[in-house]
Amino acid sequence: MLDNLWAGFGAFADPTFLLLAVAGVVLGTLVGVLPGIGPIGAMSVLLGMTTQLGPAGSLILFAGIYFGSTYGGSTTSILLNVPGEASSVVTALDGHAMTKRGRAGPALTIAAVSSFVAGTVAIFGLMMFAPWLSGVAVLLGPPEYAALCVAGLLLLAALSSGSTAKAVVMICAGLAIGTVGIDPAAGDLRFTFGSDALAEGFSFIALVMGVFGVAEALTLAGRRWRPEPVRAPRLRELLPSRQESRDAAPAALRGSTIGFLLGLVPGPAAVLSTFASYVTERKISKRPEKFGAGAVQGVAGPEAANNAAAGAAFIPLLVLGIPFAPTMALVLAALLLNGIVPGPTFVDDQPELFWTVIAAMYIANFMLLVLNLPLVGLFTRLLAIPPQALMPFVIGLCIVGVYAEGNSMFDVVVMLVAGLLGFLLRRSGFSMAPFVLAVVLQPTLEVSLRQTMAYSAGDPGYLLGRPVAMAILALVVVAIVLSTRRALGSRRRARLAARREARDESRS
Amino acid sequence: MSIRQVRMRRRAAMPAILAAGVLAAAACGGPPGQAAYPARDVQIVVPYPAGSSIDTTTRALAEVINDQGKLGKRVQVVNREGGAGSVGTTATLNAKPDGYTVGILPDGPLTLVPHTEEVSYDPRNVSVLSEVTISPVLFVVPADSPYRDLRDLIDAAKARPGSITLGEGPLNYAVPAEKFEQLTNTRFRHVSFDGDQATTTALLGENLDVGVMQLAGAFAQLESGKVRALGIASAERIDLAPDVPTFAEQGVDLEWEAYNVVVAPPGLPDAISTKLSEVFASAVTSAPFRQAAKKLGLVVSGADGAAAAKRLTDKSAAAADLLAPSR
Repeated sequence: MLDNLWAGFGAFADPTFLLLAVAGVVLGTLVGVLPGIGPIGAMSVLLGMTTQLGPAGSLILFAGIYFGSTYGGSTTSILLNVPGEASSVVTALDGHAMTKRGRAGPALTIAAVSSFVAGTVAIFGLMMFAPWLSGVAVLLGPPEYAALCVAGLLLLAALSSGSTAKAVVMICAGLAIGTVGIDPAAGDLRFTFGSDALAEGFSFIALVMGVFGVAEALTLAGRRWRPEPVRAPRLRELLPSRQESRDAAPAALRGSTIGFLLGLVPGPAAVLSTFASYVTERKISKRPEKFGAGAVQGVAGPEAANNAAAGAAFIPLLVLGIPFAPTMALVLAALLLNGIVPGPTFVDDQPELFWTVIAAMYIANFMLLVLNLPLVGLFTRLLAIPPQALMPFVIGLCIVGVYAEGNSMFDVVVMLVAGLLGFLLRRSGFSMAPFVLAVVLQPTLEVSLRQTMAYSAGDPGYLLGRPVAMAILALVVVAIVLSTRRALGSRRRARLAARREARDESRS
Repeated sequence: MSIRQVRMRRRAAMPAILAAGVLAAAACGGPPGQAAYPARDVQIVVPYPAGSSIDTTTRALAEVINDQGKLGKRVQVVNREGGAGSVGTTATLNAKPDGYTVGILPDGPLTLVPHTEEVSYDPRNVSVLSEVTISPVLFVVPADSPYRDLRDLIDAAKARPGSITLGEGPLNYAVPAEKFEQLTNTRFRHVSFDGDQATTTALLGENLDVGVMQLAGAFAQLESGKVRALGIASAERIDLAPDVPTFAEQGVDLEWEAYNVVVAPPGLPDAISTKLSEVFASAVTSAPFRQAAKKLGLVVSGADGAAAAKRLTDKSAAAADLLAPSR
């Protein structure tokens, strides 16, 4: 295996490959940082070039874009509270809180190092366990997918910092919005009112850009803001304190594991893994109240998770030839255009290509670390610009990005309306993350639920024959019971404390 | 302060260039001139997203066309996805018939969807230029399935009606599945899957007994031996999968194929129609495209506009019988 890996690195003696790795990583970071344009957009534009690049070249470029974008999305999350990608929504919770506390430099470093650690873990896992893990992941059927979706949504409702009831309202809104358009199972049109534009359903990218990009820009622009004197953190200031490093390291490792495992499962693994990691960190923390106020673990865990998920997503693609995410569908297209059909025999038939890709991923990850820590200073300078000047630029970029993605003015209107509604809802204390996750999960949840019902033919006993689905649902129930008990417990403690305080006061 | 703003603008240049590139790739050029056709680049609309099978096919074809240079201008692929292909189909058929907008469409929106949905285009009023590829439907089972051929499957379905799970999906899968039940007087437990990839996953995970698939979607897994095909619904055995017997060979009179066709809005001037037909026919039958299609598991057609139009009409008629009473 080491010989193979060495041979894979040998391919990088060719400067073209090295150049492609740099280009991919820089481009990926750029589209990750910028709201509006994502890795899917960048990859589809470059797809036409892939036959010139050859299979190895295009895989190197695409892997760089993918890893770069999952990392790059965190930068604006931390600095501006504007997630560049859906997978860095969670990072904004504590990352931006750290920025407010003046710890932007360490937050960025922790995000970069955690991503690097997770990327390395994921690539190592891809190398070691690829065939075996895919065999397990593929056994999951519709009941398990449905259970996973339910788990994802309920975990999120438990996670939301605000009111759980409001989170559930947003989840329901997301599920409802998701049903507009083509029925994923039967192909009928629903809730379109005869409109062609709605036949497409609402564009996910338009919705996300609206409720995150535009709404955030409006929120910031509405604030009376005097630009704070922000200086780029010097190299020394990028270093986290000893305590911060000690907190971040185990969180990054746990995040890597969670991300890797979820990355093997079909669905929006990169997004889901960040939520799962965040909940885990908060659950096991001795001081959960610090989460949302700049907990280091809340940055390290999710950032590790999304990168590990990105690496793990290559496993089902390469070993089964099945992409589980739209980005992976584009990687598959690049391979097919070059005459490579990934599948169970891929590693045996194309050992050089497989090992070059593994080596490319190691190199891309290393470059992210090397390139981005110095670049952090550049991004920090963006903070010197008053938001009133930056936000029109963000909105402009969102409009261009949304239009470019679907060539549709309707999407632009959807984004602006979603932005306005998101702005108003946020002011009333509704959080947008549950809404977005519900929209993402809706098709999977609906299709797998309907398939489950078709399989069972109306017999609920069918579910008893699906131990994995039952186990997932049981875990969700246990998690909810525990978190309710904990919430009730802390409320009782708060009441007791208040009573004691009142007693103390009356005594004195 | 002002220095910082200038800096920002410089940094903004990269995304702006990127965005401009994205737009340039999607937009079309200047006004149509008086000069001979084509005066500018031709858009090929694909009604599915980048990375989908038909998109990959179209991009391979577009590259051949641009390499051959017979058009005189370049062709550009534009993805107008959504609505199970209806959005891109509408965009193509309702465009100006000036030869600058053509579409590479799967046949479904022209032959099947109009039977079940109200569509905002006229599926009979189309300029069909050429047939690009054919993808026959197969019945696929996991490698260790107890069913060796269609006979086994029919016998098992008769012994346990309604209990063998049959994975179908959009109309191009659902219609042949129902047709098979009619022809063999059997009943299966239907489960809808969202295309070939979902069906493959279910078959590999042993969550499904039989999957209705298209050759292009099943090709990689058939090659690897993880799944087996019980039968192929083409008129004759095909070169890409010579070991798979046809349905007719096994006594079931079912033929069902999906087509990708080049179409233009109705009322295309004859000169332009001829020119485009020649350009596409020459690219479709070229060696590089055959090579690309073979790797994707697609049968190259190359049938001319008239033949392709007839096939579409026939298929639409065949589906009408089945879709009308059941819906």
